[in-house]
Amino acid sequence: MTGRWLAFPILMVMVAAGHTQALEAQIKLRDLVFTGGVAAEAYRGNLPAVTVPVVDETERAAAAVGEFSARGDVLFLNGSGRSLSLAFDGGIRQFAAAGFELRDYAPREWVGSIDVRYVQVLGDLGVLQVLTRVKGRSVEDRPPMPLFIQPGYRNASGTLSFQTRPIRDVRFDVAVGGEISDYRSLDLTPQLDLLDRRTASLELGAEWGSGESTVRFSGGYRAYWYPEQGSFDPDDPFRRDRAVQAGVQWTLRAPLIVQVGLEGIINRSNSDRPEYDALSLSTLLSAPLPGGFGINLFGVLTGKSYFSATEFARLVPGEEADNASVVYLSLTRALAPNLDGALRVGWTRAETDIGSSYFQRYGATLLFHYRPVGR
Amino acid sequence: MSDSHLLRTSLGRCGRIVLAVLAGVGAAGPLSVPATAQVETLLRERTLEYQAARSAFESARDARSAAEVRFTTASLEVENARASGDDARLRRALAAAQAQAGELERLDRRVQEVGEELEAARQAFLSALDDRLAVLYAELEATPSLESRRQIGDLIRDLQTQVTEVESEVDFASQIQLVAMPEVQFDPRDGPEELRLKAQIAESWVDRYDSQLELIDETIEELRERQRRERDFEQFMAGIRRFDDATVPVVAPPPSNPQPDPAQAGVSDSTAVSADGVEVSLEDQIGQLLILRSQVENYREQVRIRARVFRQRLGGITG
Repeated sequence: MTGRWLAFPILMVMVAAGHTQALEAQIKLRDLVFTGGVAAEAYRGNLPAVTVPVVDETERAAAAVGEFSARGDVLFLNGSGRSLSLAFDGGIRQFAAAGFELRDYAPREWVGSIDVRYVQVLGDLGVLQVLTRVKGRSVEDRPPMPLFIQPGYRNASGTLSFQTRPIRDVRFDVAVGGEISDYRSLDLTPQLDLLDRRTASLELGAEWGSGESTVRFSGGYRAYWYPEQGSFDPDDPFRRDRAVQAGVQWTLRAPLIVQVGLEGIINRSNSDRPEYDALSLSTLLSAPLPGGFGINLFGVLTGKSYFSATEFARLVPGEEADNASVVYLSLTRALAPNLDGALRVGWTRAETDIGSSYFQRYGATLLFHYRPVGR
Repeated sequence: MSDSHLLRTSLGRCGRIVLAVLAGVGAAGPLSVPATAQVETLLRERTLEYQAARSAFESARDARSAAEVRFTTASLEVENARASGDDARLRRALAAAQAQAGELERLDRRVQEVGEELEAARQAFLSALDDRLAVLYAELEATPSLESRRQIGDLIRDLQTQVTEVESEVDFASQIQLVAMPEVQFDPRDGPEELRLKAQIAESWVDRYDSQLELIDETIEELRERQRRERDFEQFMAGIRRFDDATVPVVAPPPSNPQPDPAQAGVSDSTAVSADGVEVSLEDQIGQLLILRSQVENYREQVRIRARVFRQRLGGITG
């Protein structure tokens, strides 16, 4: 229900805010975008996931999807060395799924998030930033695999970060954060509570370069608590993970936007089964094309190797994948001064070591983005 | 504006609010508000210093503008001398142009120096205004008489207006970027040579404004293209993340990353924070350039009319 509680007001307020200029006179509305789209999606495989309510024998399913969303950014305070802004994003997505043996499903997602960001310049030392975020989603008529839809949850997080002024062309940063995730369990899916967790993190970074090209090295430590998951250790009954992460990221900002990152994670736990080492490669690209077109690409490839062998399923199915790949590509073009069109294709693949099972998702989406204010 | 000044100003405002709250509590005991006389004296001094710094800046800027005209005139004389084939005249013109170039360079440095002094004086003045306001806020809360409270309230309003005015002059020093052509007027004693020279000066300024307009238009176009690219990218990433589509089945949502992705902070211009902590979006930058463009266009039109008048008068004399 949380997702709807966040999404619904965001959508309604922004739809009702026809006189956005009056709003702009008091606070600065930096961006407001309404998006509508339709998609066709296909799903393959039948990876077992304990967090879904039912199991279906099918290996193939398909869905027609419609979505509507609104997002924006409002600046409340800007100047005298400080700024305060709020960003919101909310949406609804309706599926009409077919191909299951049990019945046809019509899942509906409601999502919403609100970010509040405060930035304070600390003299010649650097910049302090406080970011808080609440996010929620709810799902109705959640289908079985292979049509995987993330379950509903409520999430709140906060980060306090500080980045220094350049010291011999290097900017150092430190961030501490905390997060609470609460999954919404139902009568048929009490196992969703297994995913509830608390997180605390510390990250240190150093960034070289300025303007168009930067390279950032980072290292961090994260602690996870899963209050609903057992560790199989009577003396320490609930699962606790500790992860050390190190990464490097290169970013180019003009004339293209390019970001390539490599991150390694060593995850250790008081439970044997989720101890692993992982490597993740991510790529972002945004570039102009002839004819007023633009192209955007997002890709992530993750691989894992486990620290110790076990004779049963390593993870709570529905918790983590062994290998996962996500690729999204979109072609965009301005159709009018305030209207953009985009054709997006996506591919997702995830697998676990449980019988070499896997899941794949293919999708093609046609989207229209409308900005009622500005160009 | 330096960050230390910014911070001091910010703390000054916060301090003012805290003092007002404490004064409102009343029972909090004696407040450590600066002595009224001391604060007033300081404010008077800072006001005078700021006025002097501003006057010095304006003088330096005017002197530089005049030197720029002299340099332009000298440069045109070099061209005319070269065209006439008179070597002696050319040597004299070159020497004069060189001297004017040196003077212009010196005045450029001077404008920069006094600009920095003006900024420092402005910050000191704002700080003194803050201190004075802090005292007045405390007095306002401590004064029982309605009439006295009204008077103090008027004073506070005046000072607040002053703060707003002084703060709005933050880009005072940068106004030098848009240089208006100094007055080159018709003089009844002007002969053909003077009128031709004045017409050439005005026309050279028209060319200069044309170049500026071209540059501004190019910059606006670049910014718009960049804005389109960044919005595209933001929209793309928001679309993927909104419904957790980048989260594969069997992977719990990743923890909040202290360093969010580029679409959320940094690469995207809309969240860029300048060195002085002011967020300046591409939309703002484009808006500022459009205002500048209309100013330059206005200047160009005035100068073009002036050049035409000189040419008409020249035609009247020689024709």
